[in-house]
Amino acid sequence: MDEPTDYRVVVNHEEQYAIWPTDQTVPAGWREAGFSGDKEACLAHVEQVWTDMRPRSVREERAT
Amino acid sequence: MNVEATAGDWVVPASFGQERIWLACQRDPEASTYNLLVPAELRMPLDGATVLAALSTVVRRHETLRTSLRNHEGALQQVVHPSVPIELSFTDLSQLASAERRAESIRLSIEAARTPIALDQAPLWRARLVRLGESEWELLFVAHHAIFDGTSVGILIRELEELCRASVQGRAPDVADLDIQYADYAVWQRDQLSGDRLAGELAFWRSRLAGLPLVHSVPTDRARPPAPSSEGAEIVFPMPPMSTAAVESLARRLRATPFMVLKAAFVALLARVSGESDIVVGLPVAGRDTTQLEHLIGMFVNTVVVRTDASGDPTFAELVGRVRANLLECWEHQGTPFQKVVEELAPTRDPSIEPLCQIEFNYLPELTFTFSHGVVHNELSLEVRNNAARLSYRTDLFDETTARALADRYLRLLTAAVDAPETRLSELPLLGSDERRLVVEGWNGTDRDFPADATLASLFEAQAARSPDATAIRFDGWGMSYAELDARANQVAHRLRGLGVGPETLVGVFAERSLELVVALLGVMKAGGAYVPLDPDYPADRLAFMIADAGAPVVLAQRHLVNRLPGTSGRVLVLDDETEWAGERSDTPDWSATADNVAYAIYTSGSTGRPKGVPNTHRGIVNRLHWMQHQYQLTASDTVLQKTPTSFDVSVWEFFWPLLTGARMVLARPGGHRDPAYLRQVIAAEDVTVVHFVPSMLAMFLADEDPPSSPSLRLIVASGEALPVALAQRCLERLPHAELHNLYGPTEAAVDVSWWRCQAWSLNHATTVPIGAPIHNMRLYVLDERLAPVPVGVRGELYLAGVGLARGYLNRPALTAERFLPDPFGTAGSRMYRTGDLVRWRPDGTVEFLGRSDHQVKIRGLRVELGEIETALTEQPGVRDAAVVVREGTSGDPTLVGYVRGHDGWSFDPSSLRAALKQTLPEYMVPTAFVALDEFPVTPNGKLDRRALPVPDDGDAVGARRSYVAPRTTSEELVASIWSEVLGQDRIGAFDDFFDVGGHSLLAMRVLSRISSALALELPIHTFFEDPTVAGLASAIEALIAAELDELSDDEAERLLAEEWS
Repeated sequence: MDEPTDYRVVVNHEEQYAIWPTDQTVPAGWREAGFSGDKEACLAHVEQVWTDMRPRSVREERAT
Repeated sequence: MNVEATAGDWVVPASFGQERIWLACQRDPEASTYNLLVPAELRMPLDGATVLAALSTVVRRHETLRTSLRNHEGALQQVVHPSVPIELSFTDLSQLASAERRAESIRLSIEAARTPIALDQAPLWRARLVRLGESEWELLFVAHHAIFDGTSVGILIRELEELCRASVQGRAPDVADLDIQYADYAVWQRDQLSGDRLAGELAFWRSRLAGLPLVHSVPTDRARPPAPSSEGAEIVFPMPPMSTAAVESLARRLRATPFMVLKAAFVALLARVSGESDIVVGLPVAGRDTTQLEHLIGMFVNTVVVRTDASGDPTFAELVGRVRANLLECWEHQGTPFQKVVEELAPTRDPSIEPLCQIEFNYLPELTFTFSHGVVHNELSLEVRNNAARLSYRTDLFDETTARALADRYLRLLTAAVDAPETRLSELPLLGSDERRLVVEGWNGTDRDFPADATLASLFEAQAARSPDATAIRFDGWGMSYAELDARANQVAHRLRGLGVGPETLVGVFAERSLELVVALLGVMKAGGAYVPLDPDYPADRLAFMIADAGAPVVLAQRHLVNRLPGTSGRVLVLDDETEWAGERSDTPDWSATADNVAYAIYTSGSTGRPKGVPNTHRGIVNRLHWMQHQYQLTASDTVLQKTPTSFDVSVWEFFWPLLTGARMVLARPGGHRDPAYLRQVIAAEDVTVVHFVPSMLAMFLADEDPPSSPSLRLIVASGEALPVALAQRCLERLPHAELHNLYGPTEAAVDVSWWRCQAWSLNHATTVPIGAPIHNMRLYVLDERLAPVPVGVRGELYLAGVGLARGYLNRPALTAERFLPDPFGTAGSRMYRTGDLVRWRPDGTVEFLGRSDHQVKIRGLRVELGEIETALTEQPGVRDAAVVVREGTSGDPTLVGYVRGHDGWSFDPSSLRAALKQTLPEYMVPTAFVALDEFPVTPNGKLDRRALPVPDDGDAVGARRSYVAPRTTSEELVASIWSEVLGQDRIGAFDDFFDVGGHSLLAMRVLSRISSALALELPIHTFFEDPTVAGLASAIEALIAAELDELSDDEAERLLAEEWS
């Protein structure tokens, strides 16, 4: 069987990004980040928006 | 169609069906594989003479029962005898108790079915009359498939019953006159299948079967042996009455037949479990499409190859439509004998695989199942009746549990499909809800308490406080206590803190194995930072990239390495310079990282050539070490050998497991990890109890000299590569006092995620060593391309989840987003890592590694795992390393090339390598060329660089299709000249494969018959299947002659030789 072709960019509470096939339900704890397309386009988008790769909780702990 | 009766020559050509059976039998003439057993019950008052008379009449009526076969100058012929001796043995069981009677009758049946029938001696059947009671008789009739088929069973029973009954009742029997005989049919069939008509039929099949996969990809429990076996078993299971009705109604709706619906469900099952969309299934057809043939006993049955395209994720209803179209089209052409199709299409031949199709399907609503005697002709075969179905399988390939699972899945899939025919193929349920729960939750029920808020630094400090004076490290005669190590690491921590190092700061460590290396790793973590190992063996470019990518503000280096350190904007601290640390505080720092911070970041090579850093957290590695301690209980009396380079994550547990539990760590000297003799010596001198080996190093450790006793070892941990079964067995034999555990995990998780204990009993029948079950707080998922869990036994890709997952790839958002996905089965917002490893669940809840998804290639439509071939190569005596790659062959097809590096004094002999591999691997997996190398090209971090392997010259090819080697001996010349005559080709080389240069089974018969008339030598046809090259055949001839000479006197021998070779 073939791999999916259409994806969307999703993000979780730690502001970690990932991609997920469009025709499948987004798993609990993840929300759409407002971008979809083929795999390459989605990954290129992630490369743009995910600028601090530390989990949010780690980032915030350091800041305090 | 009207079959003309021909007035009788007694010798007539065999039918195509007979040829097929005859050829199949030549592989093992002693086998009873093609015996068909008919248990004919006769319930009437009888006597032996009546049955004998009836049987004689049947034999008189049907020429097939008086026929034998012969190979006459390369053509198969039927010899019809005017009469044959009719032997009817008799056994009286009527005096036995009923249970014994039944048992004895079954025993007699099996005995009868399993006694071989020679095809050249008429009659090709045997009969035994068994008396079970006063009016209860059974005729055990066993006939060879060459003269008999499924429909013949009914004909025989009907005639026997009627003849007996008529005799008992004293009336004339009511049996139809036979207008024609089987020989007439055979002549007619040959006549029909000639000229334009044949050409048209073959054109159809050629286009229909173009590019057919060599073999199906349904996962088997064991690898295909070099020659197919016919040992089989079967399971019979009920068809739910509901589904029968639903199948009929769906069939009506789709203007199809129940057969088409049932077949479509089978196609769907095969597509789903194999992950392929080109599904090939054989379909037996009666082959009696004229009334004149209805009453004849004989071999008429034919196999039609039905190929269904299941691609594009069709709905089930669409799939039924495709199957319907396939079947209608194939039925039009069902008259072309299977054997003819095989010959004319000359599919690439592999002796381990039946040509064209290996899986059969049949729907025979009314018939009852016949008696099977443990013999099958297909790898898998499903027969569906009205109320029941039977799945037969080859027992050398499949286990009963696997066959049962397939049967369950067929019913589940069929039920769901007829219920909702608009469901897409990919959405049809393969897993029951119980099985799904089992593979997702049950086998992943690994939740355990562990110090979730601790860091490596805090746990070490606690241990140092518990055992300050115990020896923590031994190195080259030096030792360091826990307190001393703690104090020195504190100095490093204070200094680093002063330089701004804290949580999430990466610090480079550029040191060989030494006391100061351990001090550095601990010091970085005590400062709250994470260490990045910089392997001194790496090239400067790579080191420079890593330091810059990690943004390391400080590098801790050994003095003798400093000048090899590439330019860095950060600070370099010299570890072994006393003055550097002289004034530094040595008390425990009062700051620390949290469990969520990074503990270490290891760089692995990326597919683009740019290394990628993988940060792992304290929580992940603490969980991993806590599991290891729970599992293997390290104590103060244990000594762990630290020999793994810091750039390989195994080193993390080698360092920190002993340091967190109060045990001793012994550092192997730099470079020592590659020297088996040194390792044995240090293990003995330091009483090492725990050691890690990469399997290839374990092999060297065990191979080196005499049995390495190493009695102190109690635990050997293997990981990093697939562990071969033979190596695991050798390890257990050589080091019986040590447990051997196979651990698995990528750098993208904290060291290991699964484990399996190797034990002799569990390895005995294994083909691979499992990577095992998940460790605490980790989960393994085996998923298909749509991220759905696959059933037990089905190949899928391994995904990992749990606290041990790495954070991602440093500075690589896209790569991280691609490989670390949302985990749809875990807690909200959690992730899973896609490993790229192909695995499957075993029924015991452990995982079996099948290969890398990017290391798998397709040869003739068949998935080939290169690692499996490499393992087979390294198991050959003298071979040290092996690599196998796919290259484009001269014909543009992908071909396999094997690269080998030998031990000292090994001489490279491609032919014998090829011959040895053929003993263990199917033909299609044996490389066509071999290249010997002194050294393998490697990437900077020491892994094999496949792209740098040289392209083989023509001279490297062996078995060397299409590369010409002139016949080298008299016998090779003889064989080559006969081949060129039979094949009509001039240039036949010593290594040409008969089937590659246009030969087929019948031409092989012709060759053998020429050889036998030239040399007065009977060469069995199976020699052709064993090594179908000129050289192979020539050496078989020489061996046969040698054997004959042994039995002659010297004079006779000389005379004979002079005659034969003149």
